[in-house]
Amino acid sequence: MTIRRNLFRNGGNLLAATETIRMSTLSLLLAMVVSAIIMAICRYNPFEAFGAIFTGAFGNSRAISQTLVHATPLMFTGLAFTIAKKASLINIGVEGQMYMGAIATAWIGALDFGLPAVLHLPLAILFGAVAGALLAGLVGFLKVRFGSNEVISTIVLNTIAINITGYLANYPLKADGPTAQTNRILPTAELPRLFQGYQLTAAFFIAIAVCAIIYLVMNKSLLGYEIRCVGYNRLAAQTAGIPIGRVMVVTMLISGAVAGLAGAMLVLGVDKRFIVGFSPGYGYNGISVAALAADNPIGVVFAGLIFGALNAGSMVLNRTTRIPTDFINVIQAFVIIFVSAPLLVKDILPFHKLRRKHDK
Amino acid sequence: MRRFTLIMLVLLIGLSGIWAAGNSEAAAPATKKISVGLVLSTGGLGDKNFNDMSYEGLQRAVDAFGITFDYVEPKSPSDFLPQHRMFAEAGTYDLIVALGNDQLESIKEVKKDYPNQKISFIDTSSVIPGVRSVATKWPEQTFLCGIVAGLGTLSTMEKANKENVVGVILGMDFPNLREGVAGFISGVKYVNPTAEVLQATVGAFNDPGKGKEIALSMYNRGADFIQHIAGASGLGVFNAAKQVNRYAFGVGGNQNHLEPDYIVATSIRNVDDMVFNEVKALIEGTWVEGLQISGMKEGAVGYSTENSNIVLPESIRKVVEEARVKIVSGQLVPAANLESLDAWVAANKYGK
Repeated sequence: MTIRRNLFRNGGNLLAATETIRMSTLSLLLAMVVSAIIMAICRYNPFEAFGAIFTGAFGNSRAISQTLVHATPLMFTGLAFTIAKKASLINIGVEGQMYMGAIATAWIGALDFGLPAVLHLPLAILFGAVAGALLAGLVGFLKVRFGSNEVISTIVLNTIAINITGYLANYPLKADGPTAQTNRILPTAELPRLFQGYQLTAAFFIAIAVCAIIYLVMNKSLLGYEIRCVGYNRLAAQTAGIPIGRVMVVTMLISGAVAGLAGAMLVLGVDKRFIVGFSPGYGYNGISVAALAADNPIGVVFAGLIFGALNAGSMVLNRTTRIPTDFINVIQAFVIIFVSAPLLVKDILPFHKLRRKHDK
Repeated sequence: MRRFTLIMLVLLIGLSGIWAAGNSEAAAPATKKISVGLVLSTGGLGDKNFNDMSYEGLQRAVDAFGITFDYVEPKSPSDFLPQHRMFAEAGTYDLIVALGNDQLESIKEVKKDYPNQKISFIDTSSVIPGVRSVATKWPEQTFLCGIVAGLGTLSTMEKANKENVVGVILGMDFPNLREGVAGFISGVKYVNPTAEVLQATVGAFNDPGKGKEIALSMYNRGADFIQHIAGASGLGVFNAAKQVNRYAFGVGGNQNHLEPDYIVATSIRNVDDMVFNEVKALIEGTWVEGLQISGMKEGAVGYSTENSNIVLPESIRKVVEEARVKIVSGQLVPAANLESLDAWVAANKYGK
């Protein structure tokens, strides 16, 4: 119990932590059941659907590898959203920051410095993180200096970032050939595949490590304490002498760096280059991941794995059945609805304890 | 927790009831059939264009030859590799049909591990050993509509204006689509060298709202004919044409019926035929690897005014028909890309 308490002691208490885990689990189950009902109404067999998803996510070693591959970017983007959320900042710009990270990494990765892999690979990763951080840092700066709303500025900057990277990959950095993409990165910048014929790379373990580091920073460091103070009550934090402007900018920088890492890992591990339109919305899906994880960096690992499994499973669902893979999005959407409306879940599932507490 | 389990159980039982009630037609015969795997582009089904037409082509093959097929909709380019591998690994697919040049590297890699897997690679001019690549000539597809625009903007056609301006709108800035732009502009300049051709990119294939805004701004700047190469975003172009009473051109499958009073013609490309013919070749034993490029001569691309209510002046029809004959015979080759356009315009003029 002490381990669990330490793991989830996000400035809260043990009761809140177990309650959070239970709410997230219930929301997920409820989302799957409601989606199944919708499938049945649409005359699709929900058992066939979930069977196919399960096979595609865990059926064999390749399926498990796909689950981990799909979970990796979601863990980064979910974590990026979570970090900003700790300071009560809503970073909708994870998608754009990820694009900036991806193009910077692809650029450095394809340049020949004559560096060995031990230097080239970290350099490419660093540039990805810095590019993402700069874009997010700009948002923080605009908010602190000019009072602009970060939700709006991140949404607008998404479009700008995606189009700038699109331009770069179409003209200055374009590889020869008919596809809009950059040159293939050099072998010295590649994250090697762990097994022949599998897409899985060390990126997955880097993602877990980053989640763990962010957890420690948030809960064990002064900076993390300041970030959480700003998140709980900005005015109180200011009164207590915390430089809230600086803390918000730093929070956005960290959040953007993690978003940039999402792009960097996709480029170095999976795609081996920047491809225009490479993201199916990982940045936005990160919001669902963060919601399911209840804004806990360790929870992000598990939430990322769950959504990764759904996405990996959707491939087999797609191939072996005529059930639209849009149901994966339906499940994700319901997760957000249920997680963000805990009272709704409590009313639907009448537990004695919860009901009593609610009634009081 | 017991109540929770109970509720879930009841729901599950209810679900199976609902499903069982509406599922009686699912029964498959067990004879050995040709089986095809289709890897769509990231646009996915519902685009009323490339992906839907490919699906249509296989559906026709189902009716004609009794094949079966499964398809996957990649959500991002990262999905291409695992999905190709999934089809190849299954070992039960006689042919994989892959859409779009961005699948090149995944196909190369899978082909290395499964050298016997037959793959038809649609809409690419990349050559991979053991793979059949099928391409069409984009410049030839849009050239004739370019001629109509070039002559139409000078003509007294009802919705044409005085300005010598036309436009072309891209969905996304893809190099092969820019060849379509080159074809359109070379068609315009072939008959009307001084015309101004406005160009713009929507940035998405599925944003009709933005497509409409861009089209409206082009029409306001004096354009009276706009060619779109923008997938579903092009539907907004038609809407804009209707709003300001100007002309537009469709692309891909015949789109004239969508706004028959405003769409003059469509730059046709029959993707469904391309896909259907791959299956047909496989069944007839004529499927061979290598690059198959087809253009107007093969009937793969062209131009159609069918279903449009707009009557083109006889003088324009005549020029278009002359150009078509010249392209089919190889006497006339539209500009291959935007880089060579200026030189092409200087060298090719109608009537000389």
